[in-house]
Amino acid sequence: MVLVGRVRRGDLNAYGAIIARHQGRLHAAARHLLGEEEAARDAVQETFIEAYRHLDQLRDPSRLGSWLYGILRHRAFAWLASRRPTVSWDEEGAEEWYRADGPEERMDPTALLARLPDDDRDVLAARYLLELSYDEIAALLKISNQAARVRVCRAKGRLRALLAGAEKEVEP
Amino acid sequence: MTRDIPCPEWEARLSAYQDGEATPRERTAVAAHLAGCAACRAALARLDADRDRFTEAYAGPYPDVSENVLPEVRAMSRQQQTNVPTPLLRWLVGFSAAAVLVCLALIIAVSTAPRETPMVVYAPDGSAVYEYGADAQGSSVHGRRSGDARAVGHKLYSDNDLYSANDLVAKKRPATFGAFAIASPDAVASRPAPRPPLSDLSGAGDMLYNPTTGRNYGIAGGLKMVYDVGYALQVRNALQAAREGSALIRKHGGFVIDFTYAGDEGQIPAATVRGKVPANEAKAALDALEKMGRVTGITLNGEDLTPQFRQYMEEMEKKIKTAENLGKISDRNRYWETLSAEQARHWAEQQAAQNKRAMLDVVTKSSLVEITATFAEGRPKESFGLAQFFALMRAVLVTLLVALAAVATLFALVALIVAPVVLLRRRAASQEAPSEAAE
Repeated sequence: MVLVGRVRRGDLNAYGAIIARHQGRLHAAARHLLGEEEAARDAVQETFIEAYRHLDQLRDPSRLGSWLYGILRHRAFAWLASRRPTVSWDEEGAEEWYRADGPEERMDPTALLARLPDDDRDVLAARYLLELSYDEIAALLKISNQAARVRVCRAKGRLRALLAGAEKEVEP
Repeated sequence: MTRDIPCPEWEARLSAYQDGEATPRERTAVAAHLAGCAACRAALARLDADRDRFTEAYAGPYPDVSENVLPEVRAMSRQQQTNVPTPLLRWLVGFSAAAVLVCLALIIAVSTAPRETPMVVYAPDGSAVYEYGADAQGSSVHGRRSGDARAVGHKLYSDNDLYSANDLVAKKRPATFGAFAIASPDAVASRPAPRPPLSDLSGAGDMLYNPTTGRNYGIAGGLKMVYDVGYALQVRNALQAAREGSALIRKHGGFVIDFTYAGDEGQIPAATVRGKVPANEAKAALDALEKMGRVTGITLNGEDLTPQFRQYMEEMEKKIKTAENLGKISDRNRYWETLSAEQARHWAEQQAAQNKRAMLDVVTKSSLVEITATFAEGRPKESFGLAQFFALMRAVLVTLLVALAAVATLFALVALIVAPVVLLRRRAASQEAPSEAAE
C-alpha cells in the first residue's frame, strides 16, 4: 500500500519491490490459465507494464493483488480467445485424455489441470494461487459475493472430479 | 471412493469453511456436523489435498520478470514526467480551465442577454427628439411594462409621430419615419444636437410638416405667438398626465410641439408638454389642465405668477371654508343662513375664478396661446419591478463571476508555480533512480 504511493511519486525501486512480491503468484496463475510457459511469462511482464501505466486507476491500493490479477486474466483470456476455439468441459473429455495420452504426460499435473474449463481455472487461480477473498473474486467477476461462493464451490467440485479421475487412472 | 464426497447440503458450506469465508454461525454448524459425519470429514480433507496438489503443480520456480519490466517502466516514467502532470497538478489545471471556461461562457451569456437598449428618435436636422428604452420584447413606450419613455431635453414634435416611431422600434430596425429617424444612441451621441428654434414659427412650419403623410400640422408661418402660459402640476403619474395633457391640448384644437419625460431611477419623474391652442379655447384648456393635479406654479409670458396665484387660491380656499362653516352652522339653524352660506361659497368661487381670469385675461387677445404644462410626481420613483430585480441579479452574477475568475486565476498561477517545481523534482528523482536500482 505504501509501495503504491511511492511508485505514484515516481519511485521506481518501489515498483521493483511490488514486482518481487507479486510476480510468483501471478506467474503461477498465468501458467495455469495459459498452459504455456512462454506465454505466461509474456503475460506477467505485460501485466506489470500495463499496471504501471494505469496505476492511477487503482483506487484501493490494498487490493493491488486482485487488481493485478484482473489485468492478467483479461490479457490471458484475450490471448486464449485469439489462439483457440473455446473448449467446453465434459467429464468424458477428461476420461478420453487419460486414455489418449502417454504416461509421461499424465504425470504432468499442469497438463491435467489445463483440462478444466476456463471459468473454473479462473476461479481456482484467484482462490488458490492469488488467495483472493470471495469479495475480491466477486468484484473481479462483477458478481455478488454469494455467486462467487457458488462459483468457487463448483470449481472445487470439478477439480476433485478431475483429480479423482486421474488417481483412478494412475493407481492400477 | 464415495466416502470423500460431502453431503450435498453441506458442500457449499464446507467449501467456504475451507476458504475461511464461512460466517461465524456457519463455522459452528460445520464444525458440529464434521464431528458426526465421516463423509464430510473426508471431503474436507480431500478439498485440502486437492488444493495442495493444485498449488504444488504451479509452485514454480519462475524467472524474475523485473529485469524485463523495469527498463520499460523507467522509459515510460520519463515520458510521463514530461507529459502527464501529477494528480494535484492535473486537478489544478483542470479546475482552472473549467473555471475560466465557465466564466467566459457566463460572461458571454450575461453580456448577450437581452437588455434594455435605449433608442433615439431624432429629427432630420440631427436633433435628437426622443429617447426611450425598449425592453427585451422590443416594445414601445406605451405603458410601464414596456419600459417608460426616458430621456430628456429632447423634443417630440407630435404624439402621433412618437407612436409611429415606437412601432418602428418595436420592429427593431433603425428607419426613417416621416420627419423622424430612429437610430442607436451611439449615432446620436456623435451627432450635433441643436435645439430647434421653437419660438420661431416660420421654422416650426417646416418642422411640423410630415413628408410621409403629407400632412401639415395646421400652422401658418405668419402667426405671431404673443403669450405663453406655464403650469406646474403635481400628479400621481407624470407620464400618464403628460399624455392626457397633450390629448387635452389637441382636444381644444391645438397641437403639441414638445413632449419630454424624465423618469430615471432616483429622480422625481417629471414630464413636460408644450403645445399651442387657439386663444378662444385657451381658458377651457387651462381649466381642464388645472383639474389634472395640484397646481404648484404658474407663469405668464415667462413671468412667475405663482405667488399671486397662491394668494388667489388661498383667499378662495379661505372663503370657501368660511362658507362651509356657515353652512354647517346653518344646518342646525335657520334656512336663510344656509342660503347665505351657499351664496357665500358661490361668491367666493366666482371671485377666485374672476381673479384668475383677470390674471389670464390678457391671453385672449392673442391668436394662439402656448401652454406649457409640467407634471411632476410627488415623491421620487422607488419602484422595484422586474427590471430592477433583473438588473440587481445581473450585478450579483457579474460580481460572482469576477470572484470566480479571480479564484481561477489564482489557481492557474499556483499551477504555474507548482508545475515546474514538481517536474524538476520528478526529473531529479528519475535520474537518481537508475543508480539506486543498480544498488
